[in-house]
Amino acid sequence: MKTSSFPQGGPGGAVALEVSSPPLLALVGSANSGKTTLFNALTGSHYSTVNYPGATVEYTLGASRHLPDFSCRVMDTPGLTSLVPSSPDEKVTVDALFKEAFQPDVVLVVADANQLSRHLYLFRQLQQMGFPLVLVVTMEDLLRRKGQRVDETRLSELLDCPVISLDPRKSDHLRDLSRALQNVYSAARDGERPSKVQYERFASDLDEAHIATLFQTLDQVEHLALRPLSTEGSQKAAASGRLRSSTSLLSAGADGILLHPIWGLLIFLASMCAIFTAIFLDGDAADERN
Amino acid sequence: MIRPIQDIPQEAVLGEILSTLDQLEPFQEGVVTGIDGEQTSRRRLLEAGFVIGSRVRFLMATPFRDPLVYSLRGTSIALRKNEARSVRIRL
Repeated sequence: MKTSSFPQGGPGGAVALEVSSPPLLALVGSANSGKTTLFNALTGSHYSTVNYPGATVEYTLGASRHLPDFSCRVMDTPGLTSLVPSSPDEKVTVDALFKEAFQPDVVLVVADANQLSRHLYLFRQLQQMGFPLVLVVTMEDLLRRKGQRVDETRLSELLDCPVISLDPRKSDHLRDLSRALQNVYSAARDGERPSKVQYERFASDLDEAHIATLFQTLDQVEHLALRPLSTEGSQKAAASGRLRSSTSLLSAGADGILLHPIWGLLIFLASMCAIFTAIFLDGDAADERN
Repeated sequence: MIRPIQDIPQEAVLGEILSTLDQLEPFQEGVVTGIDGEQTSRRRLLEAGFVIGSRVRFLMATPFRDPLVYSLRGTSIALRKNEARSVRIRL
């Protein structure tokens, strides 16, 4: 019998769940793959998501409210590159996956469509360990702007795992997701969970040659699962691609100035002075009013 | 003068220039041929996707040229200068 004494989440939909134990779903994925956005979509929470690695540093638990056919507890975790951790926050995630009381019933791996080979590296490791998995591919809209799409069926065959491409900011495909989760959960329900001993063996076997081979496989998977958009789609893509390339040029230009060793520092100092002065001017004005 | 043959690095194929990541010019590309350095940092770079055969493009340098920003496998990654120096490439 599982009891959960998880550190309780903050505001919004993250609730403490005590006695009852619906299945536990863990969101696992590389940094910046969209785990927290998906967590918010599934639980109705409002955790702020920011665009840099290390944004989530502890796990958060919530009840799924927006999965129509699969009622479960959802665990958000810090970004992870590999099952063999190289930093303390990565260790938190890895430990959670093997702690008996909190071991997830299903692991939902989140991967960015634009960097499949990198993000599937962790997926492959989890699969080798024997976790029951469902893969969610995010940010396909960005990939489509580059004129490519993810062939979900092909990817699912290649990885031997249910694959759902969805945008967590929209609520479509959540029914597909919950059906896939339910199937994987029912199939794996009474199976053995990966043990810490298995993990130790896995970690000691993971040498540099093994990592290189894994990436070779993933390069092929990526090559086979990404398709060019149909002609009609690619015209649209080309149009928005032009739009995008002009905005990224603008952004690169801004980076060029703001990160310049001299101009960047001067602009930084100038803006700090401006803020500092504004506070005092405003303070003086307030004094005069009083 | 003609260079004696043993001076040519083993991995060199005719016409290829061997270098390290920190030597790239902005927007120049290279292909990873190996990683030097101690085991933990080598492993970290490998797991980030800098495996042999990967195509890497130098995007830009931050102030004081450390860290350096590269584009690799559909994303951009910042590396410390000494990490970048440990990644061997061919142009």
